Amino acid sequence: MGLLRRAEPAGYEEFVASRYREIVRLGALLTGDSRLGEDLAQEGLIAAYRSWQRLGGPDGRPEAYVRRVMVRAAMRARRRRWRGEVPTEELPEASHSGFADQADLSVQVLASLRRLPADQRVVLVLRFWADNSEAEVAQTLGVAVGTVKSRTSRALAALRTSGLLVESSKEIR
Amino acid sequence: MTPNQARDLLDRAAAAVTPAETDPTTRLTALGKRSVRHRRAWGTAGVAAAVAAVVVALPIATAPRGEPAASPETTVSLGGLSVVVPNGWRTVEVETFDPCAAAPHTVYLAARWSAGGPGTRPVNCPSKDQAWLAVVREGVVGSVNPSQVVFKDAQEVMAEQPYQHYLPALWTYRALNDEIRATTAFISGDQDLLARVTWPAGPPAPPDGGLALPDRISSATTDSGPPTNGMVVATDTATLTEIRSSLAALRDPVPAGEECTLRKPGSVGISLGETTVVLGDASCPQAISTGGGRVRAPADLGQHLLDLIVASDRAASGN
Repeated sequence: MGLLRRAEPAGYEEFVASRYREIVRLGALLTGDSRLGEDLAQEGLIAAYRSWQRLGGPDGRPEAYVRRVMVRAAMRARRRRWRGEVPTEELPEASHSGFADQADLSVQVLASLRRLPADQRVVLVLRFWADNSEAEVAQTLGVAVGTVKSRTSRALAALRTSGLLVESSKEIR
Repeated sequence: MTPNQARDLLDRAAAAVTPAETDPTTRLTALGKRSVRHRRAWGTAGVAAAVAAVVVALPIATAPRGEPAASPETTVSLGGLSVVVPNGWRTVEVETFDPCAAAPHTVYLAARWSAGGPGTRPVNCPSKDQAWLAVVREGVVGSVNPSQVVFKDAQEVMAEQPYQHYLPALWTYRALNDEIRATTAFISGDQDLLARVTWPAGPPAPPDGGLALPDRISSATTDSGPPTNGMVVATDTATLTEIRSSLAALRDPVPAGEECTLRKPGSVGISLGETTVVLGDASCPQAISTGGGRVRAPADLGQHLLDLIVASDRAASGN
């Protein structure tokens, strides 16, 4: 009891100030949209505020908590998608005409992420951006490791067919 | 595309994202305070009180935490589930339930549970093989194709074995419905304890018989099964029409008392958007809909529909 009795939880403001940008970036990848990503980040940070007395302690790991809240919220999109909501946003034709600058690439990647089912998008981000192992992703999402593998494979295949592979490969070399 | 390329793409995309909020701290602190006040208005104070808030109509709500149940065969409730506490068992309220740390002969009531993560669990959980039971409000995530679908208390309940390696005697039971996380019973050591848990009734069968199906289906999603367990989706009209007409043709309702348990491997779950349908094989040739209805079904219909979806998915993805 009394977890929320303190009016000004020590350390919360510092945590937000120092980690906000990175948390918003995670949100953008989880949703495929910068603005939605910021909303998602704020949802996670408000949840963290409510539990700050525990999270602000030595074993609190507030960022892990915020990420869990965000992943859970992002997965809710799965239900909307599975309820028959078909994404209508198509990749711009520019997806096959090269990526002139970083901003364009970012837009293309976010658009590609947006077109993925939430299941696949979340797995992709946790695996390759958050550097979670397959087992960790499986644990986080409550699915089998085999499911993580197949979702990862399908997500990578979708990015490949979106036209990102060729151009990004050129850049990476 | 290699993992390194994917990582590079995601890094670049993330690096270009700039928050719109230039000074989030003040606003988030204010929103956080407001959120706490809102919760207090519904409960009393604090997160622990939120646990009590979901324990509606909970006879043990006034019992001291961790104390033995006041009398034999007490009934406790959480999230619509009721549990008849066995004689001599304790009832304990916790905010977060940890299956690995559960004590024997205890009924836990919790707002949420801790799935833990790799490396966070001991090799041998102390609770392994022990008899205990927990009801968790934000329980396990729903599945399109559950390990088992058990008919209980006029409700279709999905059963899973979430930790076969370190808690092999643990099964989770939750209503098979559209909620992502539903109130879940965690039962360890003695599956007869399931008889002590009561669910609210599920949706009734459609008045005109058959399975409740969406009027229009825009996708059919299932799990392709071992070895890949990959999600497969059909969106083409021909496949969707055949799936819907096959399911709509099932008109022979299962009489009360003849319901059987749908089990994997063999059973096939298909999400039709608003509704999920599960079809059994020869061991239980019945089909159910999360919208309502349980009917007899040809033993091979589930596999046939699965094959259709897989073929449609492959055709769409060019594989």
